Amino acid sequence: MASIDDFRTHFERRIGTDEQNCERLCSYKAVSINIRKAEYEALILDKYRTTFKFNPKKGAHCLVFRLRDESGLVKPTPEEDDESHYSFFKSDAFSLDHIDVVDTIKYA
Amino acid sequence: MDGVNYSIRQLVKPELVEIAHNYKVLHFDDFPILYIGTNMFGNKIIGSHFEEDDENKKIICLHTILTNKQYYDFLTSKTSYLYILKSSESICLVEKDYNFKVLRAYDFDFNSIPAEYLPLEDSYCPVTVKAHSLNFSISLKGKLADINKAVAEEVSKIQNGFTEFIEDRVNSIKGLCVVPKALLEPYGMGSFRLNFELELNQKGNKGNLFLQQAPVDKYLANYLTYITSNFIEDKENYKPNNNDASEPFLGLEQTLSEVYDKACIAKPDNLRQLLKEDIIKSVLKFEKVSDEVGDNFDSLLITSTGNEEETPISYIDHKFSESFGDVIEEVEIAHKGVTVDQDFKEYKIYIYHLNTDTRTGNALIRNVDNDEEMSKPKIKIDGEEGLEKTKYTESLYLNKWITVAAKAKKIGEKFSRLDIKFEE
Repeated sequence: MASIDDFRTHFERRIGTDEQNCERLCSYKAVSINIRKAEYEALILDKYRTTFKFNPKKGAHCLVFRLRDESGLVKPTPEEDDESHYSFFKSDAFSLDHIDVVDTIKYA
Repeated sequence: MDGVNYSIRQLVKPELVEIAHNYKVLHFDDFPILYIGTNMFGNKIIGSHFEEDDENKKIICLHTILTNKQYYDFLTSKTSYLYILKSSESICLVEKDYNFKVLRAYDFDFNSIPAEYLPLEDSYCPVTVKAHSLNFSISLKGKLADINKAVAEEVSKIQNGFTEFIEDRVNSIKGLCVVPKALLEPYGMGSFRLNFELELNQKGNKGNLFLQQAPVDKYLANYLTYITSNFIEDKENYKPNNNDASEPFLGLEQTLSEVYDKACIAKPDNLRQLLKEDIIKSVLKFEKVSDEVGDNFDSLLITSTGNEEETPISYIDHKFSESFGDVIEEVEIAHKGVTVDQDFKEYKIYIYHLNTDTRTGNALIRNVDNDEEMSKPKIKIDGEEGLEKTKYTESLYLNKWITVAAKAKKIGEKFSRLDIKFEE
């Protein structure tokens, strides 16, 4: 089951508020997501499986969803080992009604 | 964290487990989930993310101090994170604020980790891009090294053996046209640490424009890893007329092939054979380094260093050193054959190591075919009379060459063992 807490940003949780690096501070205002494309599928699943391997409580699920109109903005923010990484900046009105859940992958 | 009242646990000084240098994230997912680094004393630390506490604005992590062996085995995927936690007695729970600043650290133990947080059996190091460089560190651990001291003669042998070893490997790449020069850098903390930088200078006017692109650093690192992790297992492949090649060997051959391709130099047709021959030659040089392990320090860790991160390349302890020596001898015998004297003969030797209780040790002796080169055979002196105040201890303590009657075991023209007849 998706929860609105899954979409809380670091900034909303007051994590990293002392950060001086603009780029990093900006990333704290976004939700980390991955774009689902066939070429990235295995890498994405592997990334979340790795989290699960090291901390089963933190990475037990992976939510696959589609964003609806007016949900916010996405910006490609590829990482060295994760080209599919995007930052999702929620709209002020964002709620779970702005997503369509496609699948919930359970690692446990 | 549910079910654990960690605040009643023993506090430890945060600087013992706080990562001060060489911080590297191995897996990131919203938070650094798994990371490594070193504390202010140079000890290696592995950390993992546990939980966030929004109410108290705290991040809870697990930090564990690693031995060199644990560090090497984990980063080379020989051991899992679960196994490290199970076998470690230096686990700490670390409390950080929401700006990732360490607040407190508590002594912790494996059995207190709630089941839902326990890493899985296959929690091996995630595959990360390995950073290679031409900067190497050799860190000695145990015994004298732990009080930041080392025996000058041993350090000198390791330095010479290692620099000779890496310079020769670059020289063995045909047509590269560079002059390798290994430079020593100041000793560092972390028990006893030797630092080297390999400079590759263009040879005269024959400069190679493409040298920068050639992965010489990766080749040297993979070469060292191969001879210290796979050579012993692959020993049969080094015997005459054996053309087999293991997967790790093929990986090394591929890296060498890349060096030739990217440096735009013609690749020798018999690359595999040349690499095998080079490995046989190089292990004899590397033995000078591995031979030093045991007496005054327990282990040696070779890392590639650069850009504030370290990549472990080789871990050597006494057990490895012994097996390595045996395999080198086995391969040499297979190539050169072995001869043993039937009768006692006179030999001129200099004893540089002798245990007067077991009557065993090592000596230097000039080779039969080339008296510029010396062998350092194991020696055993027969009889039961005490060795004190004899010519043997005189040789040992006064650095004197002496004549002894012995039966020699030779591999080719090199002496591998001398059974010495005790003489007053």
